[in-house]
Amino acid sequence: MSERDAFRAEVAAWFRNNRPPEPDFLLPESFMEVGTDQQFDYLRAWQRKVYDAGYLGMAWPKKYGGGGRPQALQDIVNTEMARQKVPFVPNTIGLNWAGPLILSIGTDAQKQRYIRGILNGDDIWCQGFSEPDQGSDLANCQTRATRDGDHYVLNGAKIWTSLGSYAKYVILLARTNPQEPRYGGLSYFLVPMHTPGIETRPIRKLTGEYGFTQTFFRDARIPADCLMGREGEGWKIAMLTLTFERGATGGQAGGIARVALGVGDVVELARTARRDGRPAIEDPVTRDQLVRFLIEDQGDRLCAARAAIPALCSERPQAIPLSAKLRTSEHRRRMLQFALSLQGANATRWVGDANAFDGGKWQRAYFNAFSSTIGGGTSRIQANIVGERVLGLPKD
Amino acid sequence: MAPLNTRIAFTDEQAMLLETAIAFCRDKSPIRAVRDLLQSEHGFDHAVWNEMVALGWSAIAIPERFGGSGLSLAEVATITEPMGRHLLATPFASTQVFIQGMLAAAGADMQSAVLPRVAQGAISTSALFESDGDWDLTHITCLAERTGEAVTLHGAKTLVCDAAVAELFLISVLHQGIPALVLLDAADLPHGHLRSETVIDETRRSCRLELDGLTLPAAALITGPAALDGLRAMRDAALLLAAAEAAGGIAGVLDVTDDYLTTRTASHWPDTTAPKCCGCMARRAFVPSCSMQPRCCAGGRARARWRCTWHGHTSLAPTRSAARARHGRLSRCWWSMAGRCRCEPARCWTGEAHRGGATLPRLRPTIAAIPGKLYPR
Repeated sequence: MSERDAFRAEVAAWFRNNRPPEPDFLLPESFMEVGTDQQFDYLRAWQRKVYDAGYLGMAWPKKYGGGGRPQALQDIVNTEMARQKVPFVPNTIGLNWAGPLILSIGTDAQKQRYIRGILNGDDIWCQGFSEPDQGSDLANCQTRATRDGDHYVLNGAKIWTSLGSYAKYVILLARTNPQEPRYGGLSYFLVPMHTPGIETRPIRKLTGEYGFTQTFFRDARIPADCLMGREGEGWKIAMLTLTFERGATGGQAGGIARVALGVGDVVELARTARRDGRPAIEDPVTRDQLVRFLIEDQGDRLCAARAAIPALCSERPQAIPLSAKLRTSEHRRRMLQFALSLQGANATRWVGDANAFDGGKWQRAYFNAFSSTIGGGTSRIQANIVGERVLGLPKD
Repeated sequence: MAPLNTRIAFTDEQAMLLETAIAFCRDKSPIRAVRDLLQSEHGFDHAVWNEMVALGWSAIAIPERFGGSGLSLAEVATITEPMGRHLLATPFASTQVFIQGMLAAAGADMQSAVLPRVAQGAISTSALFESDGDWDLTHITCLAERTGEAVTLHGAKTLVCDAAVAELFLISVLHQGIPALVLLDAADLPHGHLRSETVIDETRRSCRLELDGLTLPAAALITGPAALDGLRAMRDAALLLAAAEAAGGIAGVLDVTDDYLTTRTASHWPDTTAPKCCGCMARRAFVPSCSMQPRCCAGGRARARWRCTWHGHTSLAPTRSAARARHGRLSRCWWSMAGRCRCEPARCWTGEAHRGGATLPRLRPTIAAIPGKLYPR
């Protein structure tokens, strides 16, 4: 036990002493909003620093650039990073989805080629699943990958490609067999983004931020060894990726993916904001609502802790991880809406206004909270998943 | 408990005003114009405002003896709803709140000095909020000190809508510890007292108004119960007009959503499996063209399917006005595009012409996202 404590103290001290200085521009909340070169360079340099100190990918095999140490130590690092609210590491898709996937089912050559770049931030990864017409209906993916000798030729378009402007590789779901209408004809590729024929266009969000792109494939030729697994296994591999993405399967490289306003910040806001001439926190109705949000937040945390104890989840083992995104994203949206209501008429102020609370972070977070209920599987889809896989209800 | 009143009185006059307002807002405020105005200096089209003044709208609630129509807030709210529907941003609401404040608080002299100007189109507004953002408008910290024939103001007001273009301001202050109002003419406001604010709603403009150093004649001060009446009237007017605008806005959102759902069709197909044009396709194409002109390849016919959302008639025509002309315009016909021509689109959003179905990336929201390209309609 004391070894762990000593390690925790060491980690805490390192982050305290090595966190980068506060930049003079506003950092995005998560990797999905990294839209300017300034933001990207700052965050990537930070990831490199954290990796060089040995705090990323600690549980990954040493052979490929990881630390070869117990997962528990990485958990300690993650907790400490969140606690100290250090900047997040931007290569989220690589560290948390693509990396574990490659380590799990990739060939040795793929692990040699990709893992180190994922960890040190040299190779940024993005995800090519959603299409402009197929967001929720992933199985209907229409991007084509046609075999041509030693190559595949890609044609189609993907959308909501976070970090698309900065990415070196994309994990791509494409249809190799147009005869098979849905699941059967899909294949999974690890595609270099700088291939001629691949073009990205940035998308500007409601908040004015960039970060997403639309990605177009026009006769892009990729070597056949970009294929992961075999043709026709794309759906299976995509589902595996999603279990990593949703945190239902472990093996992530660590670090934190976002620095978000939490319920503790809302309580602080209630102390600063005023209602009827007094701090809002003195209003009994406000206190009541704050307590409800505290209870919800604590409930989510306890669920996460309980999910790690199989004996406590024996009846419905997947209930907690499969419902996590639905619960937490919806709670967050309502909490941020409440936070805005605390600001009175000042809730109308936007980022950049001299008198906005916390520089307008609340307003930005509130709008982005809507995207969290959509991206990564909309709340309706999440509810379907819970209904079908946890409760065993019949499919639509 | 006594049942709430559910009887709605809607006069012929209001009905006529509503119909005129619906047509006016629809014609003057297409979404393209709204987006252009977001970047403009004042946020609204002065020509449109002048037309509204010429229609008598800004003076609807001003008594006839001051040059107005002598109607009430009910008529004002009626025409505010279509403004919300089409995001028609003008200083209309600000001016109406000011008028209600004046009618409730100002004495006859002040009213006859000011209201005729407003009836003729003078933009006016109210300055009621302070840095706390408190919704209770009687919680005021700005001070008015009266010394003899002059009154000196201290403090600052925030979220003063349309302050940059207003000629008249009605400002809430504290006088001897009690809420009071003071009338300010923009001519008496030195340069540098207004500072622009950044608010979420880009169709609105507001400023912070510094009161420190302003000295006005004592006659500009309204004290006593009249001031409280004025505050109450302004609060009620603002809430009512905000609600009317929002009701219109929600109807507009429903419109956009409905239109999106009815025009969105599966559209992707790769190069090698180009669908034939017209009639035999399992999958139709939808082209988000910037000009919103439906295009057709083969026959060279430009067509779209239109549906009147009020009556449900349908028509095939190149433009909305052609659909209306072909069908005949009944009262309340509102034609909305219900689908594209079933032929192959000739242009994709990048402006390239695609034939034989080269992959067309499309999604309506991204059109708005591309700098320089405008959201259709």
